[in-house]
Amino acid sequence: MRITNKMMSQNFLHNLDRNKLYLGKIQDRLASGKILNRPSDDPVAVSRVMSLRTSIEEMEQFDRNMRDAASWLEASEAAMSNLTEVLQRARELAVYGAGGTLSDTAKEAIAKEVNELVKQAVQIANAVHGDSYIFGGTYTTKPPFELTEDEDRVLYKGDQAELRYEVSPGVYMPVNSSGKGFGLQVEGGEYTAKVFQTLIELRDRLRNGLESEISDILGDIDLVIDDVLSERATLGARINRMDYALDRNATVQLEYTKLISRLEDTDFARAMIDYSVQEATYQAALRTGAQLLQPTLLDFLK
Amino acid sequence: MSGGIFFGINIGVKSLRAQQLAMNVTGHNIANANTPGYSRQVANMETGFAVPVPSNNRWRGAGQLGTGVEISEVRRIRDQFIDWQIRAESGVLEEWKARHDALNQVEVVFMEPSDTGLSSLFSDFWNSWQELSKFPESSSVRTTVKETAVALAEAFRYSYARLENIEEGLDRKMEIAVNEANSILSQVAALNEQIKYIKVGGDNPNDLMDKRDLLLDSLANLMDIEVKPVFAQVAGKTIATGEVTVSINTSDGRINLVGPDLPGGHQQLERSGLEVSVGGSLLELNAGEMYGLQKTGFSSVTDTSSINYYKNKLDVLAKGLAEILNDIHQGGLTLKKDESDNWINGGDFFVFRDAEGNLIASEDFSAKYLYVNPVIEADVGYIAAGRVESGEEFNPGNRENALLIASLRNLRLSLDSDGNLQQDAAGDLKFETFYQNFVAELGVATREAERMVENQKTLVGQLVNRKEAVAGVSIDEEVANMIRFQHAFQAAARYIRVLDELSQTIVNGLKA
Repeated sequence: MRITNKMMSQNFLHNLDRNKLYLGKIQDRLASGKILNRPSDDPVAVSRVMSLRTSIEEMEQFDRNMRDAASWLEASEAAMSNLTEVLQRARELAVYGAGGTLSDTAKEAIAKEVNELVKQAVQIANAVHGDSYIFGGTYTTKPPFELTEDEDRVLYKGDQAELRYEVSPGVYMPVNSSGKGFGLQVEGGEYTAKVFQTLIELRDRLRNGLESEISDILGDIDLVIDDVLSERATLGARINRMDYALDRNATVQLEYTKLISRLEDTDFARAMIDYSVQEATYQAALRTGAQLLQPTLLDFLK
Repeated sequence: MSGGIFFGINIGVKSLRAQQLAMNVTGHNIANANTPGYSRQVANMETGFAVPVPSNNRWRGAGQLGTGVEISEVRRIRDQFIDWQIRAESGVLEEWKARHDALNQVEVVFMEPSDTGLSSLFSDFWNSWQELSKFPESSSVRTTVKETAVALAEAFRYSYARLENIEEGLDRKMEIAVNEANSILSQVAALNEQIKYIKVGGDNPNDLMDKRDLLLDSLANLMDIEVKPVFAQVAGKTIATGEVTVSINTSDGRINLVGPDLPGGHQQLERSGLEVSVGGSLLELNAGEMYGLQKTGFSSVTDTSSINYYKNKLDVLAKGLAEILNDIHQGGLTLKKDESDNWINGGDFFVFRDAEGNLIASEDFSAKYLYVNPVIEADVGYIAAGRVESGEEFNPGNRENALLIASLRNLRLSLDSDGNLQQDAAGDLKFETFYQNFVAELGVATREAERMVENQKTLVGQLVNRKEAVAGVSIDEEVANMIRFQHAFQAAARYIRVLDELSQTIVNGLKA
């Protein structure tokens, strides 16, 4: 085969271009830290990375949902805990009032304190988390519990809907305790709550009742306290469930992130070796090319 | 001695002339060592016409006496078969280059995997509905839903517009290609004419033929032409006129683009969009840049290397998303009340409208028209986050519809017979997997084009090397030839001097 000068220089340039192309590719990998920069780099890996990313982003959202659910539940739980304290104080006062040795003025003073406890309980029941009232069901923009003018009843304006958060695909967690702990009941076409009505009843009996009537109500107060405690337990269990699920999610996310990294991140040790091998080839090509292209027969003729 | 001194001098002169001519050819080769399309030339030396010489001791004569050397022809060294191979393979190379070029640009439109592509906008969109399901009464969260939806719709429109831009680019490239082809055709026709006249005169128009071959090489890069030599009957004999015909496949069979029978020796191509025709017959291409442009530019919903395929996918996705989401959105309740104090139902969440705001008919729904309903853009209270069963009371904290829309992320879908997305519990698609799938298809198509370009490059490179091996100028070879001719020239000059001395001997030596 005849080998012409043009062939030699063309082949040389072609190979040099190829070397530079590989060098450029390896450099890209090193500089960007990624081996996948466009779909054609590895279509299968790219679609896996995309779907893993989507899963992670979805999971992160569920994480946020769970954390928000937990904080909503914690707010409810805190309110219930405060309510328990209020009820326990009311129980102490009831025991004291049922003692039988108290004067009417002393009873009236106790009744006043109980009245304050009613107001405090309403305030607790109108607890706010963020911008929302937490005990009104979907009635979140206005206070759901309202003490009537004559301080005779506490009316419930909310509904009994569950507020659900999606915490994993298709799994919904109710985050609110819509009045269950308050013992909602219908009275004359209006919603009232046993918690407040019991306190109001205690106040009224202190004002004008007999000792025996006051001691009768202790049983009711205990029942109400039980209701609140059991609602607290439910809320606590849900908070635990969220914490557990968050932990589990974190583990899965870590696995997914590792998988993505394995698919799309540059293996630096390997890339560095590739780079030095390619660079050596490139320099060798330059050196031989420089020597090969230079001489012709003319150089050796006198 | 027979033949005479002057006969000998004549041999010497012919030799001087022949070596000098060969030297000139060498000079021409060296001068054109780097000229594109040049094939090396050789001066063919032949022995001169021998003459019979009478002699005393052989009654039939002394036999033939050579009359020195002659240059019979100067011809170019070239292998037409390799030319034919190169034209076929480089046509395929240019086709795939054009396809790869376009797909590469499409890939930039869908720059995945990334944190900024359509994929992550989709995630943001669904996540914003999740947020809304937690805080349905919050206007800042409602605004987030609006903003992520606006960004998503914009990404759909932008991607679609970019694809249309690439298509326009194809159109311009086709225009340039057709103009170039037409220019080549007229040049080839002109060269045909010149070559014929020189050929008829008995000479080899080597340089003109090189020029024509170079032009035909360029033409073969554009389309799959067939080149054939023209023969004519002269005095009962078939001889090559030196002309060529260039033909192309059309809807009406093979048609000559260049040929001696055509008026002006050639025809012009006409373009309408990506369709190219000659004299009303549509070109049916199979290789070349023009074919590559057609492959990527012609509308096809099945060919993953056509841009239209990806436009169609975007349309299907936009339509499916808008229709399924709107359906649910309309079943929900907004935070707005009508005159009779009833909560208003949700309207369309996404709308298809043109830039002037005119709504588009449903059969023309396309990703390029996707917008968030302007009513919602103006007032996020019109997002329907709540949903109640009939008779149920509605309050602003109701988030059932937002939950329903957020769960569309994992809705099972399939393609119906018209290729549109439909809800299907047994389907294996989701909105996001549909997108991921066609990005993967794009990746495969681009990779395939890339591989074809690489393979064809290697193949063409090898063929070009073979062509160079035959037709290329080797400086070493030319220098060696030069020395050969120089020595022969020197010897011939020396020979003439010796003959001169001989004649001196006769003229001057016999005087005394």
